Amino acid sequence: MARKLDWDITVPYKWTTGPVIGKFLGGLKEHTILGGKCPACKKVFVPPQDLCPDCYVDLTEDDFVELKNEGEIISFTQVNQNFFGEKPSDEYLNSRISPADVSEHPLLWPPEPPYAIVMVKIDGADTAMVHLVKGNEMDKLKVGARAKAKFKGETIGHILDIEQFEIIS
Amino acid sequence: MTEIVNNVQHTWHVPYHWSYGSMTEEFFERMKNEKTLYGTKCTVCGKVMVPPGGCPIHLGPMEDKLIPVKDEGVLDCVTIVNLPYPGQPATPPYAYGYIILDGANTFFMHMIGGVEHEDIRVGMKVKAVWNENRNGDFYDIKYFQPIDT
Repeated sequence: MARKLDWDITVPYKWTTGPVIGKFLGGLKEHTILGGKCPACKKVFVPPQDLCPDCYVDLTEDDFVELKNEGEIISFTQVNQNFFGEKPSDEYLNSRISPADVSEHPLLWPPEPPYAIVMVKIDGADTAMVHLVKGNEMDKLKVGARAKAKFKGETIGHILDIEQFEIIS
Repeated sequence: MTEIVNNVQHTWHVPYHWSYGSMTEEFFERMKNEKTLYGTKCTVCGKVMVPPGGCPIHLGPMEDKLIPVKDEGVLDCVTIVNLPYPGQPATPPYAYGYIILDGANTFFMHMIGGVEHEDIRVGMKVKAVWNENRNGDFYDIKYFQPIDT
């Protein structure tokens, strides 16, 4: 007897980034990490945000500074288990998200474990950003290690234009 | 000048398992094998819920057996879906309605078919059209079709 229903929720979405995150992603497309600098307190946010949480001052697309592609690992979580099973095929996803198309709404899928979700504080920034460390880099991963963003050859203006952070010391 | 990337597009994918529980399990098995619909009866107010579930007013005490209801009833409200969106059960245009099945006190939601959309009226009598191949889910019913009274 069928005691349970195996099914999934599959929803295409479009996130409107706004000028601040939009410019940050545009920077990644050009292999640069841009920080948003609060015009009042001069704190630098990576990733930038529309509003400084300390002074409630709006940041605009003019309040940017170019930073180095390097930083320090603040903390990390190592992921050893595959929570999600096998990645569903594009054919299946297209049958579920019609009339949207998976070529325009690609599915994000985690890398093969073990990998690590890391907090990296970019040099010159006052906040840390979340990213990935995977593969052989995992052996060198520790809190306080220096890390450098490794950009993909082909970039589209997406947080995963940075393939991962490589540990350099 | 750095480009402003205006949007990020992806797809969300969340697989899940829904454990039916004994009443709903039997409900679907009987749909599949007997082409009949059943509900649960609240022991306080005597109202019959289809599909099976606890009475929302009296917080769930119910008789421990399923109560048969008819696979026909009265159309309470209807909506015509003309636009496509993800996850639809049919290709638009199609009609969706709330049906109060004979013997039940709750709305049963399903598609209304076998009729021109302009001829659908609230209050009309409708009856389930069953699929030949049934898997034990709500789509064992193709749609509800108006019948003469």
